[in-house]
Amino acid sequence: MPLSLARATLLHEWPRFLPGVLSVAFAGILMLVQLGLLLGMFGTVSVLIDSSDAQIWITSPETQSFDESRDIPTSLGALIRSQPEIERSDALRTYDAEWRLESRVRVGVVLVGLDAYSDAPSCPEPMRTALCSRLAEPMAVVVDRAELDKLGAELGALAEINGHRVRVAGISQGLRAIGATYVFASTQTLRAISEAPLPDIDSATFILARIKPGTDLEALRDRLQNLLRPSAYRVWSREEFSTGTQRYWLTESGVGAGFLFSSLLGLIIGIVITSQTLRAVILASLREYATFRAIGVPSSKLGAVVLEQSLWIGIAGATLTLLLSALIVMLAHAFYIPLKLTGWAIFAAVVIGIFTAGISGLLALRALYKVEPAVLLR
Amino acid sequence: MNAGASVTARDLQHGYGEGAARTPVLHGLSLNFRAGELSLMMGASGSGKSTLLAILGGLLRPQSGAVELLGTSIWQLSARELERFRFHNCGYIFQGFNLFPALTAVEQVALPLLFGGERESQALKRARESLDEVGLAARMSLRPAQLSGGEKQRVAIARALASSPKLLFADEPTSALDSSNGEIVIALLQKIACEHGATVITVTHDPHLGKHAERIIQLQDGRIADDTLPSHAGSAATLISLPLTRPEPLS
Repeated sequence: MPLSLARATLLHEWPRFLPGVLSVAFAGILMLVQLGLLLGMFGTVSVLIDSSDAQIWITSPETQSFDESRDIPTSLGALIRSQPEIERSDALRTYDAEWRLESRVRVGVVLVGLDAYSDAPSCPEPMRTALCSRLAEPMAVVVDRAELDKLGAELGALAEINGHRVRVAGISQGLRAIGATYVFASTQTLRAISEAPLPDIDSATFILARIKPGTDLEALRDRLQNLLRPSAYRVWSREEFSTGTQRYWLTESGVGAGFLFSSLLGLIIGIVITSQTLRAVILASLREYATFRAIGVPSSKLGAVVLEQSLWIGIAGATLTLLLSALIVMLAHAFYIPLKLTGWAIFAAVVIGIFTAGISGLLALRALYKVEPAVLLR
Repeated sequence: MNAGASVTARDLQHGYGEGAARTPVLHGLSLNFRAGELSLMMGASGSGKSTLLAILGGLLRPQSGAVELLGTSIWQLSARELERFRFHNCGYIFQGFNLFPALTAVEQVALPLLFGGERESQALKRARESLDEVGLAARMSLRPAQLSGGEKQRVAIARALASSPKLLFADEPTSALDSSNGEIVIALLQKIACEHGATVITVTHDPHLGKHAERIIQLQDGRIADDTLPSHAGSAATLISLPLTRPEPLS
């Protein structure tokens, strides 16, 4: 391996560099965990869209997010079924209700009404094997494992929704959302609970459809939108509706700005600590650097030593970030905390770690450039 | 430039501070040095000897006056040119040894050569030769913490020697050493002057070093008080030096 003053110093005096490495790692983890929580939490607001088997979603025209659609007529289902690419259409209904269990639990829930067969486009993926068909039993409901504590429920428990007795017929996994506690029921059960003198018994919150394999989804969506008039209904592809819902939550809630602010804060703290670390290392070797300046070694070459050190600090810090983040992700999964990390988020954390160290190196260079070899002769 | 002189200084003036608070350090000082000689500059603290060394060595710009090193008027060079000049022609030895704690002796010596663009194998080869010359062949792979003070100073000398400088500037090179290590170091400097034909200018206030020098310059209050050629001139046998004024003082 070629002789490198930067590396030799790092290895020989690693405790001096440790605060820098830790602060880079800290800034990275702060960003990554926040981003992971953000992605995880806001990923859950669209969980029913993402886990459905429907590539086409139809909502009321002003809808921006899953939780704020107004009812639309179920007859739309028949209309879109006339398109040859549509394999099956379905309706999904949501209804705000109150869950009671004995006298101790009272929770506001969102009742989700599905067609009670496992092949229904609206049946969420985690419920497809058995749970959707189990909803066919009158007054049967399914709740998510992550909500059991909140609902005080267990499999087979009897509870009341809006005064109607229901039975927990199944427990799903992975259908927890922030902002709403979902309780799944058949369309018939939902109608019974909502005690509809439903003027709009033939209405639903969403009409959705599964398309035949090989269909050009974008073209079909555009065609349906033309058919249904944009002023009356909005036609989405599943991905569009999902990202639209997540974006709406991110911007409307202000959490996005909070995330940016605290990540920036972490970044600044990381840069300050790392640059101070590097500065301290430079100051400790100031006379040696001054000697090299006397010999006639240009500042730029000595600066390259400091930048190489900062790069190694960045790499070490980013590696530590990745290791600790993996640990945190595992912990989060064990505790059903929605923390989700994507490839680009991890890539961004690595880049930001190295960037933090690089900026710190540049800031620390000032100490080096002030070195005057004549100080050695005073 | 004075014939035969490798270092010529003319009318150097320098002081610290400004206005009424200015303390003059050098008062129109002129002198020259020849290649192959070890010259000692001595004087009390504040006599201006270190300032003079810094100005002669191209590390401190004098407020007025000129310095010619090997025929080049160094204070007329740009900063970058001066850096390059120092890199190719000058070696420096300081009171503190200024070695990087993380590097072995051979790496300390090779590093400046690497910074100068030399290939690593060549730099290490020259570093080994240089350490061999200062008698540290067996200590090459040790770090500063494992070396004695005298050995550290010899590493610093080897570092200065590695680029074969024609001019060597040493500031109190023995003051941090015991007398026997001091002897070794000054004898090395004398050998460098003699065998490499280098101009070696050393600032010291150790009177025992006189016996190794070809010339002793006494500074007092920024002026040359005495400029002697010890009669032993190169022999360690004679300790008495006759105060002789240099035959061709600069006007």
